[in-house]
Amino acid sequence: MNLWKRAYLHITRKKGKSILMFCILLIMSTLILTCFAIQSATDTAAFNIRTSLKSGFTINAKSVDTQLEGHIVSGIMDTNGIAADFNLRSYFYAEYYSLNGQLLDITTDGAIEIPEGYEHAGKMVSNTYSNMDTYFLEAGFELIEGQHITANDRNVIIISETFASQNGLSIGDTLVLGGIGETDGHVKVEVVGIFKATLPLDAGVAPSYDLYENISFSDNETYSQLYYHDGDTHYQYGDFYVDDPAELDTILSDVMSISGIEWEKCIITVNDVDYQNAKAILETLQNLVTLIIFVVIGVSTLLLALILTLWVKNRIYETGILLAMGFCKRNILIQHLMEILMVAFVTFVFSFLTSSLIAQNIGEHLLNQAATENQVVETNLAEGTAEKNTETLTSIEVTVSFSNLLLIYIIGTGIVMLSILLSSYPIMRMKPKEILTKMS
Amino acid sequence: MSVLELKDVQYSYDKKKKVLKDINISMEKGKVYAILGPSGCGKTTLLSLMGGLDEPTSGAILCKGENISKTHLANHRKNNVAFIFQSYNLIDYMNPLENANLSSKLPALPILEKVGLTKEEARRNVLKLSGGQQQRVAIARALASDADILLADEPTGNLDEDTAEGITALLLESAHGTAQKCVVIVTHSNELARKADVVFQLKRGILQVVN
Repeated sequence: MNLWKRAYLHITRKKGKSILMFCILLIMSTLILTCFAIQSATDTAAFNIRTSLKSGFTINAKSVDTQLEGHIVSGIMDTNGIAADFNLRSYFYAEYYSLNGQLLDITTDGAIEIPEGYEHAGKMVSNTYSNMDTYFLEAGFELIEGQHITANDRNVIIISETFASQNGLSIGDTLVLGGIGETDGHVKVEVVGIFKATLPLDAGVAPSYDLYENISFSDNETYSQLYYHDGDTHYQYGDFYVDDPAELDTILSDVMSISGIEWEKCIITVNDVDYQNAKAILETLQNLVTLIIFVVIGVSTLLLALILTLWVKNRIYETGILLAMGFCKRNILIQHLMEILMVAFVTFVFSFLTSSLIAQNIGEHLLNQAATENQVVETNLAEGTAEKNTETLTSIEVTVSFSNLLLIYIIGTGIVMLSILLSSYPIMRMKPKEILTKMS
Repeated sequence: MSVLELKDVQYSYDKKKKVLKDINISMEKGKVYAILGPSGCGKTTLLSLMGGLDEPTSGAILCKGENISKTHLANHRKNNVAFIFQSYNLIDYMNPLENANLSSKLPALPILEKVGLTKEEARRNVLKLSGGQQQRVAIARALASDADILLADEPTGNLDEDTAEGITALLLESAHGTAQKCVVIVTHSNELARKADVVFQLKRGILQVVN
């Protein structure tokens, strides 16, 4: 009788043992499969977060004489890993004139001072894309009429609701901006948008030109025409984004190797706080899952080896009989292995179903734990950061895949083989006569 | 012709006290050999050496002229010998037919019927058979293996007198019948020994022919 038939007979005739082994293996494989599913989910979540969170860097070239110029921006945009979206901006002051040369009114109520020469001036912010400006993103500015400035716009302006009503301006009207200081440039601009500030002034008090009512947004061409007259476009700040935040350091060093700018005079600020916060949670979660996988595999192997040791001791009688009949130890060992593997292979299919049922719940529980642990650490460092953590990663989609199932077949087989070897070793190193003596 | 030969066989557990001393015997097919001796004198050890369950400390055991240590003990157990134990030693999750089929080279069912089991009994749970029936299954298993040498260790030790007689008859038939086996029986039973062709007495490690 070959070992396959012996193994089959053992499984089918010793039903109690087979069912018990099925249950043990089911718990073991469900736990491991669940951990694998969560690990895959965290990898996917990490990738999604990396691609969805805007991470990048800002180059402040204000102190560089020529500032950022078009060819440098092109060089940066051509660098591998730089995302397509970007924003180039500058801050300057300009006097507001009507088309017939009359100075326009600005708001002075609430200003701590009205500096000399700025009685009809306001702060100007030029942008490639005004919707990406921090005033609109973080300071509560809202476009209530018209449209935002984009890369194709030339000599356009977005003014405040108050400034527009003070001077009778509306969408489509034209006004003139005048440079302040050494420049005597004048540029005609068309009103393309009107905004209102929904939050109070950030600093509380400010000189007249910095009051929200007197701030305007224009395009970068306007800024360059007003202050440079060299036909090129100049930018004080460049906000660039990367496709993969994990590659940010490498991309940044590539960017800084671009010649033509005095990098030592530039201030480069990395903007990846959201990614770092999410990364911290994911790393904690991944570490937790990895730890659990190792613990579950280790405990499963030991537990299985312990149970099989007891079973093999009970089967010393059968082992002695088979040895006396001329079956070699290897043949008997493989029979024991096949018995467990036959049960295991059926069990692993069932574990696919059970782990699918519980994986999502366990995944969310672990995520909460990881977020809590991370929050505690972050709260100690900075309260505000901790709040952001929970916003960046609040759910995780855990599904058990067929590749996970394949993995459980490989690892499960390994665990069963190791357990069988560990449990059978004391018996298999005995001589047949010793085994038969133990039998009697 | 000699099927099993022991040449200067010695055996000791601790290399100090010899359990078996210079055993020299030759056994033939078609004969029943009985080994008598007091408990603990080494009868079962001698049977284990003949069956390749252990190796002698010195000397050689030849089966059909070949040293069994050199042809591997497992091969000897598989091809040349079959054991019959006092406690039957059947595998409990197999029925009599499956037990007899474990290492069978001959069809097992006719042999089971020959030793006295019905077809129905051949498929019954072995643990539900009587002691005599279980021993018959053990003999059938030995016969089905088609080994030339049957080694029986107290085969009637657990059986009542009538059943023991039936088992003894089967063992004698195995040697004297068409199968022409070499049957070696370790026993305390003088009744059984009287029916053997050759009777050995093992005393203080020395094996002597009694009849």
